[in-house]
Amino acid sequence: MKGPVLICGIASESPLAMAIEAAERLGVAHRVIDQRQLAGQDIEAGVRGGQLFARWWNGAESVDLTRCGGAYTRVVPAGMLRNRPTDGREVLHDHYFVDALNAWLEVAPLRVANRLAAGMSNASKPWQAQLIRAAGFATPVSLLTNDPDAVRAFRRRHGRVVFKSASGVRSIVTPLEGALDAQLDRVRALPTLFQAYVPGVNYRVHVIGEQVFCTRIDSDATDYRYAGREGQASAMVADRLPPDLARRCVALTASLGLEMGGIDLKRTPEGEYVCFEVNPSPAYSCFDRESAEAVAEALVIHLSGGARRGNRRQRHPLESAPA
Amino acid sequence: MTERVVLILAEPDDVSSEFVGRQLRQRGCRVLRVSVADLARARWQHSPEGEGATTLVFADGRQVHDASIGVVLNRLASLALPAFAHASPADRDYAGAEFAALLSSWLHRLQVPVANWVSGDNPYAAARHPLGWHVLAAGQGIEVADFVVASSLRGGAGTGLWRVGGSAYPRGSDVAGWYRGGEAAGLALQWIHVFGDACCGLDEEKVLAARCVAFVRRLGLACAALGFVATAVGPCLVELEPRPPLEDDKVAGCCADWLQRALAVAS
Repeated sequence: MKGPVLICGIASESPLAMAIEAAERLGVAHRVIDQRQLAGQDIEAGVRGGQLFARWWNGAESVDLTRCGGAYTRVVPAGMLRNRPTDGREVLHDHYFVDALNAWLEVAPLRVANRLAAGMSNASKPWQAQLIRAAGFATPVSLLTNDPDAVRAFRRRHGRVVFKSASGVRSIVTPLEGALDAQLDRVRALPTLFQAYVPGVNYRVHVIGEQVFCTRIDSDATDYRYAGREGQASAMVADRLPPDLARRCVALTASLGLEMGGIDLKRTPEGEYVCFEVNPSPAYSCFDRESAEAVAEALVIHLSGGARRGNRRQRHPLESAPA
Repeated sequence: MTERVVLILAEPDDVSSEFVGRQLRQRGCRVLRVSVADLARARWQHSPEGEGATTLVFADGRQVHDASIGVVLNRLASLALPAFAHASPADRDYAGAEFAALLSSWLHRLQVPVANWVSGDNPYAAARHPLGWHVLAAGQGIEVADFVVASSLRGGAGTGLWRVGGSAYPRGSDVAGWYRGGEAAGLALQWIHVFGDACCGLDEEKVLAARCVAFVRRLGLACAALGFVATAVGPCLVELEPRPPLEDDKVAGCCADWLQRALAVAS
């Protein structure tokens, strides 16, 4: 369905800001619900007579949200906002505003990047790894355990080992070495995710519908996101994937029910691609500027009901063409 | 052929599990009931890939083999890990999330029916939020009551509806909220229980029973209780309980029947 794109969240946050800029640049009709500007705004969503409806008052006009073609959402829980209201009535207002918006987005008949339900596999990396493998990708050899002896045996088999969070909670990928060896008994308190270290070149692949954009990250750090902590540097460059791999990335993202995905890959020295995770709410704006702008443009076009397979569409210069 | 077990994940005080467990044993089924504390104190080795099954050894030395589990009844409402009972809220939440990630992966790797999956932290999931399940039920042809979520009553969609729950905030200010029809006010609900492909409590209404089964499946659940009220246009769905009480021999028996059938398929 074609219609304006609804962009929801903290409007100044770079992924949303870039999407808004792209929509304005391309002339894509769009509406913005800024979580930091809810005063004076209202929303109601529900079912009456068996029919779903949603209406938003933005301070100037009443908007029928069911006429939107798609939505890009990075709404955060109201309690996580800085400078949130303290007045009881305002707290209640903001809470139910977010509640109505999120609940409607989960079931609205439009393209949503992304529904929370579709992204829930990211809350369990090992479960998501099963889904990734089912889609034909190799994944890191992993062990979730609270047995220190099992960890030692795993390291003897695989040499260099890292550990990280198994859930969606952000963590720094850390090598199991040095002083941490002496603390291995601490895993008895909580099963921890260990992985055989995968050497190679990092890639972040952003998939928007059937479009694929790739960034290569050149870094010697264990976790390039925190390269500075290791005294390392990281450089991000737009790149392209082999067509078959691009096709598999599209299929993987679709299999998870996502309109948009951030896929973390590594190409090993042997040329194999290993997939670490699919991020359902990727901060694409943190990667190279060229790719980020291309992703933002593709996103707003896709969510506005843009070109589908078979329609003539000029491929973006940075796209990896799926086979 | 190895005889498989019904794995019941439940806290010791979950009476429903006792009802179901008793029914299962009467049917000759093997039952293994474990709590969060049992799982947390066990020794785990789990890999999401490869041929190796999960090694799970409980503190008392019992070992559970993946291949021995035929079906899972999950009655856990939360994952409060004993070792983190006195930890900071942040550490407690992190530990809970990590353990949920492990359980999710383990249960999925079993490739057996699970009623219901360990739920992630998504309060807007259709199985948890009334707006979601109202929409999905209506989509399956089930009559539903009106339901509105509103940040104010400006639009009037809540007119004639009742606000759900109360508010601690000053009278007159608590207009934001959930609003629903008053169909159920003062009426006793008729509860229908769905277990897999079976519907308990709608013997005479095959069409509605089929719709209820499809609805529960659409929610991503394997079992749920649906609360209906009788209206002029027929039964109207007003409540959904994804973790229903099963403290009734008939209902527990329906649940046990489904678990037994699932066990037979797995074996």
